[in-house]
Amino acid sequence: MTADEFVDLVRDELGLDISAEHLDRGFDQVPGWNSINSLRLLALLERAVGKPLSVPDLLSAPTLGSVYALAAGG
Amino acid sequence: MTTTTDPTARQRLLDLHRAGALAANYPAVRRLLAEVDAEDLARCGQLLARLDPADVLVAHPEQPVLTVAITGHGTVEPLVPPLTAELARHGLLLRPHVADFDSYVFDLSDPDSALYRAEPDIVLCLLDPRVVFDEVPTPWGPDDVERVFAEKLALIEGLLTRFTATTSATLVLNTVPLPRDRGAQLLDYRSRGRLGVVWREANARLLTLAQQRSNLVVIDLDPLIAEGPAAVDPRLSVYAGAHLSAELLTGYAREVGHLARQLTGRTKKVLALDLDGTLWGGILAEDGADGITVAGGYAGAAFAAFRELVKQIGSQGVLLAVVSKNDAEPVSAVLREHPDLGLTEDDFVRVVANWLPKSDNLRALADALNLGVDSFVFVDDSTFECGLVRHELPEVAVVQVGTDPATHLGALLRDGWFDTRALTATDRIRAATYRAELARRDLLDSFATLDDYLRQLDLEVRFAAATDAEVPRVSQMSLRTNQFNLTTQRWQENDVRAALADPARQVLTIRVRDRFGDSGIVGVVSYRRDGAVGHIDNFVLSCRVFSRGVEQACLSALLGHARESGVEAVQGVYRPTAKNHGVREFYPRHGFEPVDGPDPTYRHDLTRIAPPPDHVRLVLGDPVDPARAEGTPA
Repeated sequence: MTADEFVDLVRDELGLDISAEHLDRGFDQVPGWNSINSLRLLALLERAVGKPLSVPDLLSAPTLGSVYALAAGG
Repeated sequence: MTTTTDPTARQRLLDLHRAGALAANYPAVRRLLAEVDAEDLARCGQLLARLDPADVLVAHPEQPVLTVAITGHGTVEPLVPPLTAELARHGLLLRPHVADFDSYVFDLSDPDSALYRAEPDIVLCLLDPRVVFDEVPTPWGPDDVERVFAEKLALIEGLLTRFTATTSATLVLNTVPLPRDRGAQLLDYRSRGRLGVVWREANARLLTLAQQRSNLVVIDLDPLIAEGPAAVDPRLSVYAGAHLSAELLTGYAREVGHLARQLTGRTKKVLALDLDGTLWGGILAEDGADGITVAGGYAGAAFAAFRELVKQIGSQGVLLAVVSKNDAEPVSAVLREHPDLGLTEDDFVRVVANWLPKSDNLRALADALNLGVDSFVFVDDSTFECGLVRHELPEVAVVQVGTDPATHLGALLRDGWFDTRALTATDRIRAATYRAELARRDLLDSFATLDDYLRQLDLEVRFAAATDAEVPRVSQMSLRTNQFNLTTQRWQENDVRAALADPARQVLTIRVRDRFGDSGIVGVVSYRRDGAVGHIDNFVLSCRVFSRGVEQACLSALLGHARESGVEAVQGVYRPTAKNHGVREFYPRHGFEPVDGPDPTYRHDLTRIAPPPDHVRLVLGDPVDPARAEGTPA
């Protein structure tokens, strides 16, 4: 999964209006973000990468970019 | 199993979302959602839930909107996307008020709470297993659960009283699922069984609450869970405090969608059904009445179960109709005669079988029933027909059943299209009421159409004494005519000649011609005078000219002639046969009163003689008389 695909996933599946520049910002600067979205994104990422991901790791990630890194590299 | 999904519908919605054009194009959303399957509907809900309802209303002030407050024990926000999508499917815009985590007691008990201030139409209070188990001590047993659940029920009853005093909204509660990982903590079967008992008794009491209250609906989650979704997603529950799974909330949202439909007057009233592939297998026009799959074999049993469902729905006030591409007569024959069908023409308010586009037929049916097409559910197995109706009549709910009839039943029941709060006695007889009204309208319609038709026919009726040349035809008419033949008196040619020779009798022939041509002799009247009373011995008319006013015109002329000749009254006899019951009322309908006689006998006193219908040009006398023919335009 590329960073662009990750951004598209967040935009098209969660409906959040973000762009690549949001990847490095804190979640408080991501419009509409909450813990429910984190878990929705987790389920989407697990389906995309085909393996389970750690929820505590994901919930403690400071930025969208670090969530992407967890999914892409983990 | 899903029905067809248009792969482009979600994509089109996504394109609108990406372009930031969803609010501006909100009216198109409903049509797009009608074409997506359940999974895509949930995904579309995510996008639609990001819209600000205010933006939609600015662009579309006419858009119906429903304010729904969502509260509960845990995090209730996950309900918003599926509920947004479900309401949008039904043409409603959701204006949600989402309560804080675990705030239902405060929300519902304080008359000045943010929830009440939102002035909701519907209040959803999500009850999850943690409502009870959060207050059950560790270690625990069934008695603890019984005690806590009873306390919660008492609490809820108190909240309900406050709710009723505060708002006119409808409150929606739900039965509380019992997850396996609770019961499984009790190691002995007896305790585990008792947990099941106290849990179900408490849920039963919840359901009972709604039996007596018109502002409370309790959604039973057990049937939804029986369809498969886990009640609780452990990760959502632990990490986000959302104690009911997204899948279960999707099903719950669907039920709330149906409730929203009826609260806003959108309950469907008519179930319009295709026949071939829907109510039976095969194609009637090709396979014939004996070749279609009605009840035999594997597929037959599935179709039979579906028809039983249709009958069940029809018994509860929903109007059933057939809209089929078929010739009318074979369809009528199957409905009338097939021994295993279980449905007859009487079960349907109307059976429409023709080759017109089904959208036209549905529109016409709606007009005839004086209902909007938005009160229709249309069921068909054909992708083409379903697509056509969706396109032409987006207000119609289209249920496409699949190729396997075993799934028909679930497809129709999947949405509670006809759900209602309570049935009335009127609901149960509604189909019969509508059928009677339709019959009246049909009669009226046919008269209106017929009148126009008759006026432009340029109908000429010649009513004159029979000539020798006409004897064979007069005899033939008396012998062959069965329906419009009041006494079925049969005349051989000699009998006709004898009558012509009798000065006391008159044999009159009726000839008809119109703009399409001359029909020749189509009727015979035999008349006799006996002192002050005239007698119509027989009146015969060919079925080819029924319902054109021919008989009225001739009768009017005959009665007028009788009065002029000094007769005081005219009598007629109706002698019933197996075929002539259609003219049983002929005399009474034309101003005759019944009098005593061996056969039903009627008498006209000649005071008020109805004039001939004004679309008939009546020509009296000898048809070959040039002087009379002259006054007759060609």
